[in-house]
Amino acid sequence: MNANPEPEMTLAAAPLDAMDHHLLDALRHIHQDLDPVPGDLVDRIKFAMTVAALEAEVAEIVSSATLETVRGTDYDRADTVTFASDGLSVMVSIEHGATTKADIVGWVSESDVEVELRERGRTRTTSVDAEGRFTFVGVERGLVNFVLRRGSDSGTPPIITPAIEL
Amino acid sequence: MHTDAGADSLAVRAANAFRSYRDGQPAGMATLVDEVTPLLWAVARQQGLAHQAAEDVVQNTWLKLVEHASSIADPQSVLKWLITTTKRDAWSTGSRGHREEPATHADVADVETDAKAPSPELTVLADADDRLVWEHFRTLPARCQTLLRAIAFADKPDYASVAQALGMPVGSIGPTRGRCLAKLRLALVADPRWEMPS
Repeated sequence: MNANPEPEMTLAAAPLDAMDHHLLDALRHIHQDLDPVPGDLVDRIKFAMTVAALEAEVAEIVSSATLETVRGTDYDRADTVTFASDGLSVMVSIEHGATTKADIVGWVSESDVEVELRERGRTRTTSVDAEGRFTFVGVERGLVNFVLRRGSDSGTPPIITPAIEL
Repeated sequence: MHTDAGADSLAVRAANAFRSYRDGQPAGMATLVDEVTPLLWAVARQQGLAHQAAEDVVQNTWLKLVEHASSIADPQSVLKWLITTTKRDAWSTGSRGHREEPATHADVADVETDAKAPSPELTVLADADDRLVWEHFRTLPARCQTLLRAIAFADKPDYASVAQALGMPVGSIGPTRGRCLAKLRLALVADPRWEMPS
């Protein structure tokens, strides 16, 4: 017979021990199994935050295609995607090399535009040339966005593209 | 996980990521979203929100952080701010009728409706110990389920402040075990199927 009328109180007042951590670990993976965070939620949140932080317009994907080249191997294909927003359109072509990196060539319908490439964990920026052409070399595979800014005196908000998978 | 070192606390990692975001490193925010979203998801769902409503609430919490980033005086408090915002919005969304009907976990809703069959959750959990922990967890008072589910996604040094952000009284958990974990342990110890892990 237990002399203590309130075993729960006694147990509650003791410090956390290994058994508690075992139970909390179990509760964590039980909930990860039963009710996981939706797979794409984190990516959608990051995109929405970027749009909000930049006060940017979101471009639409107008067309996308995977162009199989003559040899048609996995390592020799190019993807093209065209985005448009607010009268500006941009086509990007992704060239997958034999490595884990890809090269990006793009054309913008205007010439006074700065293009920012947002990769996981880093960004880089380039300006388009007189023909509206820009390139990024050696881009890691993964999800990327482009942010396009018209010349500083245009008074228009930046344009962000939805993420595309390289 | 679960060490006493300050650097290994979710609140400290969140504060560091938030500070680097405010210093102009967008990657800081990406890290913060990766680290804290599982905890916020737990908070929103534990308030009874349906899947889509919970997604909206969690995403809006992050958008509010972007909006208010400059007004959060102490980066150290960013984790509490995120939890408090999620809980409050989940509560007000829930009171507008976006609660989930009982037993409609998306993955398991269609599995079995026979009253004598094990509950759908129990068929998803492969591990016998997990099934026992889940059975007894489900019998705890709702506020204990809320507290323990959230705590399970934080690190030990964070327990007291996570409990506080959820509106639990001081001493609910950390540094002592608190009554919710005590109830769970007593229930398990009293269950003859439970074997104490060595």
